[in-house]
Amino acid sequence: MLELVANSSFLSFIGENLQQFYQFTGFANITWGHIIMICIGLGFLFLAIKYKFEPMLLVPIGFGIILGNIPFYPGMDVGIYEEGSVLNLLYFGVVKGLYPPLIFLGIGALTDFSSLISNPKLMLVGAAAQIGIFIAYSAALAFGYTGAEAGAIGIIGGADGPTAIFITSKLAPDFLGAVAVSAYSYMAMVPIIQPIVMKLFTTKKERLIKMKPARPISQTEKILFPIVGVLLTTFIVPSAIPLLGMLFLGNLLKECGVTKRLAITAGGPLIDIVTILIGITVGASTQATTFLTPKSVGIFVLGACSFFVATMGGVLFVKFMNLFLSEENKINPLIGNAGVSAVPAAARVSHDMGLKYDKSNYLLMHAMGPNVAGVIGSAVAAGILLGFLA
Amino acid sequence: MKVIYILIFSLITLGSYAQGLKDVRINEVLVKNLTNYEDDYGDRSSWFEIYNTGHARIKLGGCNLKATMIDGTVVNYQIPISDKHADIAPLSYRIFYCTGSDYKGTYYTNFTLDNIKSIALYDASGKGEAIDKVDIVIGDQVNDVSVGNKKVDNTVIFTTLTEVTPGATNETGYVKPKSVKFLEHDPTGGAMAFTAIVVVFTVLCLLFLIFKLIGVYMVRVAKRKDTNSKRVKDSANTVGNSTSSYSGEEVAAIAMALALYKEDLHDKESTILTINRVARAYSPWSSKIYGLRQTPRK
Repeated sequence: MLELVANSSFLSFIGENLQQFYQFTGFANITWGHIIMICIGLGFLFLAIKYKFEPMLLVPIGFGIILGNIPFYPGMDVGIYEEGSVLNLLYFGVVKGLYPPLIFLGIGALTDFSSLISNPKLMLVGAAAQIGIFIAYSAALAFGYTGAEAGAIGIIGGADGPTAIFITSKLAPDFLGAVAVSAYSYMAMVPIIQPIVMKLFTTKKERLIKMKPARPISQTEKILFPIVGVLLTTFIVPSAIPLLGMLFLGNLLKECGVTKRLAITAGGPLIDIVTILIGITVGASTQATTFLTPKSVGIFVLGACSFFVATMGGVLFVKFMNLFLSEENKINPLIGNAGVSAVPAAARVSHDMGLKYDKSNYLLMHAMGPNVAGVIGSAVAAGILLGFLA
Repeated sequence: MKVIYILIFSLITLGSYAQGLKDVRINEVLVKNLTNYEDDYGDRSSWFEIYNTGHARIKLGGCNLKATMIDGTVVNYQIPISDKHADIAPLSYRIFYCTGSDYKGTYYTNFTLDNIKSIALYDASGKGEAIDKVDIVIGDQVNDVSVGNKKVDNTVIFTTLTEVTPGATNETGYVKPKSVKFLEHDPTGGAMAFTAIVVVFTVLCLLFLIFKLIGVYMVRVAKRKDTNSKRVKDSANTVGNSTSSYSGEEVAAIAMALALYKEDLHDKESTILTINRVARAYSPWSSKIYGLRQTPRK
């Protein structure tokens, strides 16, 4: 009899523990929001792996979205917003704006500014494409977002993930997940979005323009570019020092010829590590509870508009420049889209579009000019937003 | 030479130390504390607050607080240099209780504010110009009302405060965030768009102009070099020596070969092979026999 009682109390003990264990599992805590977000994460992985849409970014972000949306019982110190958890510690680099400048260092070490130096007027195309940022800013204000929120949304038009994260972490940290995912999604969709705009605003004759080959650039010019660049841009917009300073430092490491090892590290292992960390943490920051809100939907819509306007701004500005250029110096407006700073995806789109209309028209190196000017332009624009709104 | 380096280093560090201290202000003073803020011992005494206006943590250890009394006597309190935690975080506050007994802790001064005329903060030397100094008219002091820095019409003045705010800003009213202020003047974002586009264009236009000029100069230099090399080549040919001009492909091949050769070179190779004797000295600590269980004797 005693044995029976002991057995039944043991079974109830096990049962209670199992029930308690179940309360801690994801199945007990799941909501529709989690399911939707996990599906979005899986969608990102599908696009990255199947269609190779920016896989370096979308794989960590997509996986991060899945990780961030695994339901759990609060207080287990595993969530990205739970102080002291591992993900929270890694997220520190995003919140404090640590990762974006490191990525810029790598971008600088990987970028060849030769095409821009050989044809410096292409810098103006990079400036014109930044109009998307400020049109989106105005639109966001009209839709009732606050000034700081509008600034964070506008920067999506710069098509520069690290810059978008940097600005949003300072202006509207609550929107970090939405803005970052939106910016990276549109960057991944550059080959889909931009050709539509490019076709819409160019004639067939314009698409066939063959540009003059770039002149060879000396080592001295390549070394001077980051030094002059950093002095000029940061003196005018000091708030962009973290981004532009690191971008030009990375480029100087690459071009000066005496820091080959540093340039390889900055443009290789370092940028890879930071990309993984930024991807996974930004993805994980899109927890259903904070992400699935009407404001996030608004961010996506406005982000798309700013991207559209930015591309249009670049293309139309090239057409405007052509009005003043001689026949042999004319610029193919298909490189105008590259003024947004999605390097090198936007330049690749220009190149592919150029080849589509003329098999012998190679636009890649010409498009790299406005493309890298776009990086500088978006960082300057970010500095202005910070200066005015932060 | 070493002495010069040490001197330069000391000057730089001293300079930065002084620069940091210059950011410290005496921000608020409460002379008659009857029902207000209590110190760590639960006592109410006069206190004053200092504020770090800078963006770097500042060490206070060694600094001097000088209180000048109505009768002209000066009492000096040196913040203990041995206290490693005697510092003030960026944009933060530190309260000093004027109990007249400094044995209570770092932030308890050896003077009171009963007959105070002025309080001044000096660096570790205690000499020269004060980092900050406030004059207090003792007759004007009201019970539980503090005096401190306050912004009036965009000018900071030392005046009577409406609220006592130890360890917090004296600006107690609602302070609008910068973005809200900006939005009031530019509700549509038009001014922002215009200004920002102008700035972005200005920056990139300046870069364009600079590199246009550098480009023109570089093209000229390249042409000059080209002309010079042609001249040398022509003169060599006219002399009729055996130095025939190489074709572009040949030059490229030579350059490539040289580059490959240089890449393969190691720093220095002595070509001496050294064979070191590897000795495995016996030690009972590493002996297997001590690690094995002995066969028990029957």
